[in-house]
Amino acid sequence: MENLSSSENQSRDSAARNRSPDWIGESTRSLLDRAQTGDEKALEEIFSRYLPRLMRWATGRLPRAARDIVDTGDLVQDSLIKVVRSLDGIRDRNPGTFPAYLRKAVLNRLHDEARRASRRPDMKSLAGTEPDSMPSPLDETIGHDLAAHYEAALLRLNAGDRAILFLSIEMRMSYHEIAKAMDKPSDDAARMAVVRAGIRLAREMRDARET
Amino acid sequence: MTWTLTEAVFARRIDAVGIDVDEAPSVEQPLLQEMRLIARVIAAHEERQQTPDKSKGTSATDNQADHRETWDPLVILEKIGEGTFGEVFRAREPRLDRQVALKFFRPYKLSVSQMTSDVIEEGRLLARVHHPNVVSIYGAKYLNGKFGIWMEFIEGTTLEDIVTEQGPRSAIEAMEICRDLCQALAALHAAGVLHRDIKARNVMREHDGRVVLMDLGISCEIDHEIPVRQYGTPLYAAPEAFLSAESSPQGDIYSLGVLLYFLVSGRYPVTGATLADIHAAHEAGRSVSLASEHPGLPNSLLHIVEKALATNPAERFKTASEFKEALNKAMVEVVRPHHGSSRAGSPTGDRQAYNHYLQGRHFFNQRYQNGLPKAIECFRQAISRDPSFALAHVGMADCLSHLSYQNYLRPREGFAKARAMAERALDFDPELGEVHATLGWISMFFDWDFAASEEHFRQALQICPQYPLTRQWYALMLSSRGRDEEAMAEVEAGRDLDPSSLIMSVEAVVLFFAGYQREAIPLFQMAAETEPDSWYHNTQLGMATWFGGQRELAEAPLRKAIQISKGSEAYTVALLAHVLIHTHRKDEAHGLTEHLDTLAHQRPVSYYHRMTPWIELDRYDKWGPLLESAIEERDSFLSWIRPIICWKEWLADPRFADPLRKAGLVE
Repeated sequence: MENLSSSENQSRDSAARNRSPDWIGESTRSLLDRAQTGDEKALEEIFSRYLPRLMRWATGRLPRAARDIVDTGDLVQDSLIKVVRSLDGIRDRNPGTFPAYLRKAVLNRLHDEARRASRRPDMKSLAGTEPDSMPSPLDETIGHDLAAHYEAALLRLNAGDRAILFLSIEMRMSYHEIAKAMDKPSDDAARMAVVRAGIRLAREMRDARET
Repeated sequence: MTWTLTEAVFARRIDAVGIDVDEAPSVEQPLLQEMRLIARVIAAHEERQQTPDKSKGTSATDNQADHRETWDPLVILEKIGEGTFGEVFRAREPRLDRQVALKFFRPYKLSVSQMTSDVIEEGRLLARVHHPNVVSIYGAKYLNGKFGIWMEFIEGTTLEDIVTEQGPRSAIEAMEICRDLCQALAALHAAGVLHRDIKARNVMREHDGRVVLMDLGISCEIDHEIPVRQYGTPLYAAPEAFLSAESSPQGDIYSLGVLLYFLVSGRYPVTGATLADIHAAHEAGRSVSLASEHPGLPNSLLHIVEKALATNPAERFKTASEFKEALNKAMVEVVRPHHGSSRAGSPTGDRQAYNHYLQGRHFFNQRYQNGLPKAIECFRQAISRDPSFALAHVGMADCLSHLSYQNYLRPREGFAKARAMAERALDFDPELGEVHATLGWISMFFDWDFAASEEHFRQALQICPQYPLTRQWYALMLSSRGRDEEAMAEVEAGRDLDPSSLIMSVEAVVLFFAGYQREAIPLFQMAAETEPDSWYHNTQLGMATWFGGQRELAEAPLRKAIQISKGSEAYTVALLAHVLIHTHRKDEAHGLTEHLDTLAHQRPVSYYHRMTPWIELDRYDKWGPLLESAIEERDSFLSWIRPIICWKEWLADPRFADPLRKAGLVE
């Protein structure tokens, strides 16, 4: 086992996770504040930060059978607009609220759309199953049981941990991006927060299995 | 910020998908099991995030992101090769602003985790091999569904192309090439790595003559079920490779023997139309001796090839170093009658070459007054008149290593060339003492291997105790390690040999780091007065007065040094920035840091010097990556971290100290 130090981890961070070096600048909280005052550029920046990743993430969450019917792009874009429009309600809270709220909003919307799609006769006969049990690409990759085990443990965490793990594990943002999104003072601090939230998640998963 | 073991283990899970951490015994197993599950969730999302989104309504930003040819941390530029193993691309590593070759492997195992583990572990192992004749591996990982390894980008021609286009090489040229490859193999074998695919196509010769062994043992394409493919190309495969899946260093030595055979003849000792033919030829002992293939070659070369190609592995050279020694002896036998070079007599039979050498040394002594380019030209002329003139090679090696020390050349590139030049000198004259002083310097400032450095200096002292540079450089090495009294003893011994400003400067440095700042400052002052136009001596004086408690005297010599060097010396600029920061003139200091960044776009600039003002400004976001790059590029100035006063408090910060400790620079 290598002796890992904080600095070594830092170097791995920059090498392994710094996917978007052009993502340098304002924190998400500041952008949200500006967007709330009607600043179009801030809104655009929020969109460019979240939309591409969110769309790819959502595609992995939507059952394959439903993807021919549901337009993931429109769905995610709608959700994002709705969340940003509700800025008044969330802007003064914890910085993790925005991503956590975003995740929930998109998941709800995906669920609704999948359910709606399954009501169509052709869809149901094609899938041969109800929407809740229809496997998403994620289910197919890691197995439905593991996906559910992970999801249940994630929901038991507090909103801040949920948000940071959503950004890190699911959106695969770099620590630099996470630092901006979660108002962390440095990339290193973001990394530490991710790791600690991740360990809490692992403990939740372990405890759930033991009980 | 410190990490618990659990956190460190989990961090690895998050950052490096596929790396196994099961060997963490103190992390409880149920938790590790959940971490592994989370890693699978991460891998699934990673794949999803790297998959281009085909859904309707994709935004322009998304499209841009999807089509950007990046494979973190690299920007892919162009495809430059393809083989059964996969594809090779020319790429750029923006963070370090360097070109690299990126090789993607085709999956050869069903298990992604197993293959990831193979590639990454092998990459890590190879990354530890630092040798000028071995392509440097920079990194390996699994990302976006691809197994990749990135390495030094070599511009040159393969030996196969050279022989095909220009015909077989002379005995001496072939032996020189193989001697370099022996050194490469020795370095690999010492690191526990077998190459397993040595052939003319896997060796590049750069335009400046550097020979580089490519395609290291990343033999991912090799199917381990088929023993005959253990050694890649069957024409180069040792007979035992057709019988057993076991690999050994003797297999590499055999292949190198075939390569030597090929270089001088353009042919192979054992041939066949098919794999079975070659196998059968080995079985039947049907090989063509080099003597019959190419009569007239020196006997010593024929014996070497014969020994390397012995059917019984036990009868071959036992090690690559033994192979190299045999080549060295053979080369001396071949070269001497033509050049009459002998250490026992005159260092060269060519008086003109010797004059060039002496002139080169004169300019080398003015190395801090732009003497190095002139010195290089003199040594180049000396070598062109007498290619086996060992001392001229040493002079050239000294110039290259000092250019690298001062970052006029990138340390990795420059020190590699310096070492190659020094080793060439040693080949021409194994008894040469001066070359060990050079190697001692390289070991200290590039390898950071202080024990090896000391070994070289001691050897140099033993062979030629009157050589002044040994005393000076050994003193600096001892001083950097806190061995102040021994350092002073070397200064004393060296003073009579070279009573110049340089030994004065060395003495000043040694005294200064030993804590005798008050005694050191007058010496720095004298060196600066002796050579008033030296940016270096003025900078040293500024440094000494500032850190020696005479702060009010520091700025003037620093500004003078800036003026002399026209702001091109990063050491001076960084020191002045330091002074400005501590005298509440941060705006001007910021201007200087920006100047360093601009300078870095024009020529190599020490990462260390770029880092230092940011540390003073407490900007970890800036200095963290620069420290990382300084270590990665093996910035020579890091060798001085230990005694430099201003770092003492920073060494309590793990962000600063841990990488240095890992690099062996501080205890």
